[in-house]
Amino acid sequence: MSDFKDAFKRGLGASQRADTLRAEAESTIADFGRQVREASGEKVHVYLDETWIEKSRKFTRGVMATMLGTSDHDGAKKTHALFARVSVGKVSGGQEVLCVLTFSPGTYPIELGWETEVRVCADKTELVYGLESMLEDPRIGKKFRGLIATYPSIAERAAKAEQEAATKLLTPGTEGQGQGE
Amino acid sequence: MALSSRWFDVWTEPLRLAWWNTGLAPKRGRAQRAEREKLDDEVWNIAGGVLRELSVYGVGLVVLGEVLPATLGRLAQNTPFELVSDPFMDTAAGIGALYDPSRVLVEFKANIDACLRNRDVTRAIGFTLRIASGPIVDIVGVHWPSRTIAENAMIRQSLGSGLQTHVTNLVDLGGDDAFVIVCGDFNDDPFDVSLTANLFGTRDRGLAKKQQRALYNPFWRLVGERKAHDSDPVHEAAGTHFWDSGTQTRWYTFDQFLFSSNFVNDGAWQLVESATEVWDRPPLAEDGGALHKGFDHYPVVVGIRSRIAGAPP
Repeated sequence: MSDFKDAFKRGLGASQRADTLRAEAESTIADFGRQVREASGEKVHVYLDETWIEKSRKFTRGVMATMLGTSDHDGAKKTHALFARVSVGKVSGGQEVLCVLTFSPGTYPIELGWETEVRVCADKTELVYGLESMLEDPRIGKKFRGLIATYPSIAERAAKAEQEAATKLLTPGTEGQGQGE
Repeated sequence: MALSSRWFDVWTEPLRLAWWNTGLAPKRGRAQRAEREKLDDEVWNIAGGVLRELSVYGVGLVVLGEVLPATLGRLAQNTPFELVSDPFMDTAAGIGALYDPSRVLVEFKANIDACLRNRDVTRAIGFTLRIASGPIVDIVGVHWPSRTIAENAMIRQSLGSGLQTHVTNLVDLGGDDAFVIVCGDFNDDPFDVSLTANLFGTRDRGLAKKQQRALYNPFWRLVGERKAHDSDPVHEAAGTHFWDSGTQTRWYTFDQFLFSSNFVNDGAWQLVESATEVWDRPPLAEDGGALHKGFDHYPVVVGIRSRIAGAPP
């Protein structure tokens, strides 16, 4: 007789393990983002975008081109992008895709792809190592330098926006002045 | 880069692809490299001759193992082949590619590495192959670590699993347009765990048709002696790699091509399986199937055909 009860339990267990590993991987990525933010003097913010394929089509070469070129397939749904962006308060500047992460159904192995590099990571240790390798790549360094170079203008815009907001708060009703004349 | 009008040939005859572990720039220690350098012009002449013969044979792309950029440049001399080069291609992998621009366009795509416990050694290089029309073919050339160190068996299995993940992702993303070929010197035979359980290379064409993540391995048919003892007095190579100190066998089929499912389904590219062969021909082969001194691998050749490019009106 088939033992569906055991198979059912194994399925629940596998799902739970996948959730645990997914949380662990996301925590690793969050830690990566936190450390990059700190190392950049709070200038660069990193975030994972799960809908990036629909938004961005500017790559033409290398690993990411493959993923962008075929976004209509189901496989794209498990692929997420890690972005870096300069932001001050609510004011944001340009952003760069650092890498794409493709999760397996059980979370690992995770394929990490950036520029012309692919790393297949079987567990957390390898994911950490892969992310470190990416940070050490001069092409990724160049992206960060480019972003950091825009920081002064973003900070200026943010200060201006803050000043304007403060002015509006101090002089209520100024928005509609002169309109009745 | 514009492709030549010779693309029509792809329809009338198979486009042949080759893998060859040349042994010209071995990774093994300095002493062996020095020994190799001592091998005079004869080795280079034979290697160059192999490339020229492969070109005449209709090969449009040769993926090579144990080569350096300088090796490739020297090999390409006096052949129609051009070197695939890219500043970001990891030459430490010892893998390179030469292509015939009158037949195909081949570009570097990626260094593919399983992280392997913080050892960042690239063991696979990804290329893209295109012709005038039709889907791009992803080609991954690999050279897995040798059998001289016992623990490498586990590493080859890890590399097989990592590569399987990469291939599955390519196939999932590409859908009907996914055409992935993995080739190289695996330092394992088609029946070893790294190639079967880890990479999911199968001898079963029917299974490869059904299972999108499976890779059909036509080299199962080329393991061991290819002709019956009583059928032909001429002895052939009984594998792709010869190791004189082997106890159970001296011949191994370490050099293989594996094909993603669409190549054996009704895809735009088709495997021409009858073109699969161990290329044990002169100037590399000597009488009795022996390899010329200075070489320990034969090239392997496969054929594919586009059902789109060059289809008659």
